[in-house]
Amino acid sequence: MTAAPTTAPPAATEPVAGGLPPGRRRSRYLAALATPGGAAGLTIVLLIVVGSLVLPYLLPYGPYEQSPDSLAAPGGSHPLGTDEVGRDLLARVVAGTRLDLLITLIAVPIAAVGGTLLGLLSVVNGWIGAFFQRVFDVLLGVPAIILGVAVTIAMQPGTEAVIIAIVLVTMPVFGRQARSSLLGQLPLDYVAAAEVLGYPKRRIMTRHILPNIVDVIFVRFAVEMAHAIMVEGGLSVVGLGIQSPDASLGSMIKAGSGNLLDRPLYALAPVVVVVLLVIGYTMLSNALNQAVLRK
Amino acid sequence: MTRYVIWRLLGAVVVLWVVSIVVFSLLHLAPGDPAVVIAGADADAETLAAIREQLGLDRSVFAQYAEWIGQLLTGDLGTSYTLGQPIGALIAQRLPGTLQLTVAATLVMTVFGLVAGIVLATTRSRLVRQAIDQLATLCLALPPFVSGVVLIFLFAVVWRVLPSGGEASLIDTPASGIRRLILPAIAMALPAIPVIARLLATEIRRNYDQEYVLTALAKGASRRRVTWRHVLPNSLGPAIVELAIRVGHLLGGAIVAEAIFARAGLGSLLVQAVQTRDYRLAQVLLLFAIAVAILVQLVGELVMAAVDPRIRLEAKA
Repeated sequence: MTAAPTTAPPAATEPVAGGLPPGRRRSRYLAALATPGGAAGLTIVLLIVVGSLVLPYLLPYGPYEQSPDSLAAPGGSHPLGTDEVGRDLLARVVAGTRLDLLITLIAVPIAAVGGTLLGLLSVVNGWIGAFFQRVFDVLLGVPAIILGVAVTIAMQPGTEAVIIAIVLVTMPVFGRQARSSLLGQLPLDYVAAAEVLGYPKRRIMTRHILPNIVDVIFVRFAVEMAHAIMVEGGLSVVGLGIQSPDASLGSMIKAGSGNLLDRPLYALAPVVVVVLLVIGYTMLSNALNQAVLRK
Repeated sequence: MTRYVIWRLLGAVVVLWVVSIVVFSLLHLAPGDPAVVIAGADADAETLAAIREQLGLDRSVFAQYAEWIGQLLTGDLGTSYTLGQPIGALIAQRLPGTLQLTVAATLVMTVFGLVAGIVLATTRSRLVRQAIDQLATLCLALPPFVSGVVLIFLFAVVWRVLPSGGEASLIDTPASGIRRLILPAIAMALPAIPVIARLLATEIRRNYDQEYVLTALAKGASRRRVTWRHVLPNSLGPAIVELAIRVGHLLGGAIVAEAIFARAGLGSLLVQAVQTRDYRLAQVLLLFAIAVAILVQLVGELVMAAVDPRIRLEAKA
């Protein structure tokens, strides 16, 4: 067995996995986003993201600004009306959307990287791998909302608790996905070829196999962004998520659901944002999935 | 089969034991003195001492856990700190509401999931297939807290045909009780229906390509008979397991449905326990919900193994 070459051989002679250089992969993603479903999904998500970033500067009221006008009807300077303490509902929906996006954009990447690494570890090391697979099994067997409630027992409900809950719910999904995808790659010829060439196991894992499962993780990422929105919503709706005076989509739905009779827009506006976000992410992930399958 | 069942049961017991340790530790994971966490930062020394005494916080964590699990195993669930009632009595009082909801939601997802799955797999109409597919995608985007609000708005506010929430006894006032179950059951079942339908449809289509279908048709069995007697029973496996997982998760879903539809049940009791920092009650309910999820899933897998001998053979190997 010769030592691994200290300088990497030119890429072309290396048995590169799946055969797709990064450029081709990028164009495949672009093609996926150009399909009707992909374009629609991307548009929806981007519109909501841009809207939540830009609108706060254009709206006349801030999300915490109170006025004597409580539960005002929609119209005039309050397009959606006001809440119990006279805060502008549109401003709060926008702020809530932004908080949801922020929370999910912190939690899901942590879960994706952590889950993928643990999945990788589980393939490399039998012992640690088996341990984490069992942990993932149990976590996956428990309803997401129950995990969230468990987190709020250990710490005060709030933004941090929601982020930790989403990570706990989502990381096992990535861990499972990474592990099964990695195991699927092991019997392939390019892995055997790399082994024959004498590359160390770690190099084969990280340089050859890992790039090949990135696609699958990417597709998962879009799906889990949608799930994360649902976890925040569920926790906040039962009262253990985002706490007043902060606004999130879930906490607004909770507050608004008591006023459905007189002020239906109070709850329905955040509901529409949740549905649009989830559908947007789903369409994106479907389009990306098609692109991954097409190789 | 016996060996398989014993093996799986042992696994479930070990998992439950580990879960009980984790659930018990949650209180100690919280930064700071648990007694302060429970009573609030401005509690006086007397209250803190009472809480420490009541929870046995003055002893080692191991002793506390041993006592707690020992009591649980002998059927003593402890007493609620805030409500002053035995936890067992509280559960007995709230269980029926949640159970009704779970049974109703299970019925909805089973019936609609199976029907949609069979139609999806057997219809020749492209239009019907696409309609079901689009509907399925929409349902997946509707978590219970979203569909619940929409259902209340449509059926209780706009059309005023169903009550917006609450509960009524199924024995004394069956009509009212059932009417109050409809919307929450649908809200809880919606996201599961497309998953079950798609699993079933995929299995049915896969089975149609098998040679035994051709054999049955060649021997003169009608298409209808082949579908119902041969293909369908062989295709139920994955859908049953998924259904079991979903039923196990319904207790979790009940938390959200009970909040939205203002129903009293185990879910609302758990939320109340966490909000009032009633740890003993919260821990028992949490353990109960997780145990149910794990056990129902186990039952699903055992049913699957009973139906399909290949699974238990695989496990033995």
